[in-house]
Amino acid sequence: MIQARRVDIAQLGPLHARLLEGDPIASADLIETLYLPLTSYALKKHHRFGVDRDRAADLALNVLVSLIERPEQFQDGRGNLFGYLCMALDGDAINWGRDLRNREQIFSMHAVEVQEIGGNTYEVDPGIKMDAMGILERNFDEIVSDPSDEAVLSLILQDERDYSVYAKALQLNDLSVNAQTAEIKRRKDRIEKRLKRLKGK
Amino acid sequence: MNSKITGSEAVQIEGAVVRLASRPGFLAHVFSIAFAGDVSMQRVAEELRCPTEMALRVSLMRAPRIEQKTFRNDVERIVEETSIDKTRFLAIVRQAQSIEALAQTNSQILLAARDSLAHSDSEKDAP
Repeated sequence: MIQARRVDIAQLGPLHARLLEGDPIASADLIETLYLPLTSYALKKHHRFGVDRDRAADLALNVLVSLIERPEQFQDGRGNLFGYLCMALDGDAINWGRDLRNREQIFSMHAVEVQEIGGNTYEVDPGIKMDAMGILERNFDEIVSDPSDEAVLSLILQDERDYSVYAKALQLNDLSVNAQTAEIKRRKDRIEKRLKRLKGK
Repeated sequence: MNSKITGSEAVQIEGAVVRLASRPGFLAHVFSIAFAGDVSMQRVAEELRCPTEMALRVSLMRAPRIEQKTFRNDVERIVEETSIDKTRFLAIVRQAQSIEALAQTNSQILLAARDSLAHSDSEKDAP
């Protein structure tokens, strides 16, 4: 259970002002104050749309980091900061849900094929969980051209979003973060391109 | 504003530190580079020689900005707020900067090598 203390709205104005001034301590105060309340909010509001505790924590931290990196995005006097962050989080949660549905559309044909081959009662629905191993077995040679592709495909099918997980799987830790991001994106794009092409067949 | 994080909250906020380890600009990221990815509060506290609660708080702070004047001011501010040893803290920040600079150089060499491999692969993938 996530424990979150009540947010003291009055302290958020001065905290935002410190972010604008570039105070390096302000980020710690902001995260300590709002990370758990925002995680709790995300879980309560979006749980029925598939947001679990981990995703809620990701959503909460993302809006906080975004504000820390660009504090000018919030203009004091236009509502309170907590309300603003909740609204931003709602938007991110909706985008996440949309991305998830798009990904499911790309994979849905493969899910049907898995059902036909396996002869089970698998149904395509928004809550679909892909048979990752089935997809790998059926189209392995077309999707996977080197061992790292297999790791990337497996993570894509698990809906893994955290690039640090990809970096670890691909043994890219010797690269800088920017180079890791570029390399992971290139490899993900390549796999998704092949999957889209398979869907068209 | 001083930290009011309690024990159970600290455990949950440690999850934020792990997430921040991949975000440049935060001290969690600096510690991740300097300590080979280990951003556990025990490790950070041991390296900074401070209580784990303070290690947690420091990890959530912004890394000192690189311009000379702001860097000095930011370091002073962080040290003043946390009472951590300035020399140790500076050594860790500088170590991380050196490792990152080296990684940048290495990554350019590695990416150049991978580009030549990717080139042949993209030809194979062309529709």
